[in-house]
Amino acid sequence: MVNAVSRRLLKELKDYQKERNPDLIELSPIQEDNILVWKAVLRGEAETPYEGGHWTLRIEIPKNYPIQPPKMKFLTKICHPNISFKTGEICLDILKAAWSPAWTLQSACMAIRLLLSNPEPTSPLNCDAANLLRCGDFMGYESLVRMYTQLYAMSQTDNEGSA
Amino acid sequence: MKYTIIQIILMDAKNFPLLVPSDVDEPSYCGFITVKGQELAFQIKLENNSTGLKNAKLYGSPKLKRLIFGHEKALQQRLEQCASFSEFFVDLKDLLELLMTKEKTDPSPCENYYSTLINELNSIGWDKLEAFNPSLKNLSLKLNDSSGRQHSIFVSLPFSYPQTPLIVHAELPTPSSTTSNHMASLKDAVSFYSKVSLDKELEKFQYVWSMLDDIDAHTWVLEPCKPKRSDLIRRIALGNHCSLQIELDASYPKGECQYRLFGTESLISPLREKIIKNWNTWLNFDLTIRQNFENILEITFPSTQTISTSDINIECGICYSYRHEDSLPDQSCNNAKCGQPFHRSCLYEWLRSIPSTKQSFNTFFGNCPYCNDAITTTICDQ
Ligand SMILES: [Zn+2]
Ligand SMILES: [Zn+2]
Repeated sequence: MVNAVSRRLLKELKDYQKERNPDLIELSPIQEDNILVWKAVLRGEAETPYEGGHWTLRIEIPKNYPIQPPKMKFLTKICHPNISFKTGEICLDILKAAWSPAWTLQSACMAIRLLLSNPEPTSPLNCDAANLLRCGDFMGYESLVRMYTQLYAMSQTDNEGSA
Repeated sequence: MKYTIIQIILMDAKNFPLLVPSDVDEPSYCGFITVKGQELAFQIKLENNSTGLKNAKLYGSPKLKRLIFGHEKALQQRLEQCASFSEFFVDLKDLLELLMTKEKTDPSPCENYYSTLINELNSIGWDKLEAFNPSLKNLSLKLNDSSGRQHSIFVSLPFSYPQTPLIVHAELPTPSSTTSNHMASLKDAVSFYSKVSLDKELEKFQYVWSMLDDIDAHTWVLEPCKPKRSDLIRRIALGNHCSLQIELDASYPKGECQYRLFGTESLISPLREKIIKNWNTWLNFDLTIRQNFENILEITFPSTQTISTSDINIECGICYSYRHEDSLPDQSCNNAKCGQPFHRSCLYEWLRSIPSTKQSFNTFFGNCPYCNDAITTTICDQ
């Protein structure tokens, strides 16, 4: 039967669909038969090196959501001090100890988007990017990020557009 | 690819009918439900801008209509109460299966069945006939009471009619009305309900009904969403996530009622004090119960025009539901700016999962998931 978790997720989906969020291009379950696995597509913020990029995230929702936070990771490669380039793992407090049921999948996605322009180089998952920031090489950092955005996050947009 | 809410639930289980949105702007879904190898067409229309299945309407093919005759009200109510389509479809399927089995085993009617029925209807007047199913096995009659309120009387005819009596019942706020009465004829049914019930028995409900009508007309009733004549409870929105529940008692005619306040303690405790302080001023029986409550509480109940939906939101901030395992969100954050309601069990589950939560005997001390202010709840025995 539709349990409490599904009910809350359906309400979240409805809220997202009611008022489209231009920064969150997509937010929906991936498969038709599983409401506990979702996909989100984030739009990179303008005037940042992420501008023009679209990133897909995979969201796994635990059975006792929203007591436990959702597991979120990037599927599209992204260069960011707090995101693993290899696995897409995200280091963000609200997805761990600072989680509360007041967060939703949508607001958590928006927090991740905010993290992109506000990196925290002291807890890095991507040391190359973090080191550039830590030694104050902002030009180098931005050009590295922009390169990966063009390499991975813009071609995907074309694919999506033609599909 | 975009998913509609319905598609997602439907894919959850194989039992559910295939459902397709028939219009993007006006939410409406068409589909077939397969019961015992038969496909029955139906359509569900949702009201624009309404949340969930509130105000949803079920339409069906003639075959489906014939099967569910006499159960429409119950089904409609179920549809509105269900949190999801899948929940509703399980009920619909169960009911249809039951009705189909019943239909097959029903014997053919007695010799004089139809002629007696027609004669009966001629004698009581066809204008009293409200609805009937094509087999004429079930029908409903409409009767007006002394205040002009219309009531329905539901009649089911056994196939051995007129040899065996009719089964008749009406929707009244007394437990005895739920039991069906056996009557020899439609005429008896009409005279029973109009002479005995509508004029005498029902007279005692007139006051209660007019009080409820007044509440429904002047306040924002949160529960029940579509009150029946037999519903004597109203939960009235007060704003800031607070609400007042009033339960009338038909056997205490003049203004006796039970009440309960829900919401943030800091907002409802002044109201509770006013009720205690002003209760003895409840003397004016010329005023309605609503007006008396407004005087006692020194407020005007907000109406749907004067209040925003976010202000009356009384859903639990954790599971996003109103009713959860038969409990209502009766815990609230004490920060008046927050006031977020929770189910006790949801809040308990959350506080229990947080390492910093302190426990003293059966009370848990933690923080509101919304505003981080201190919040407590007691253990629930589950
Ligand atoms: Zn809850
Ligand atoms: Zn709070």
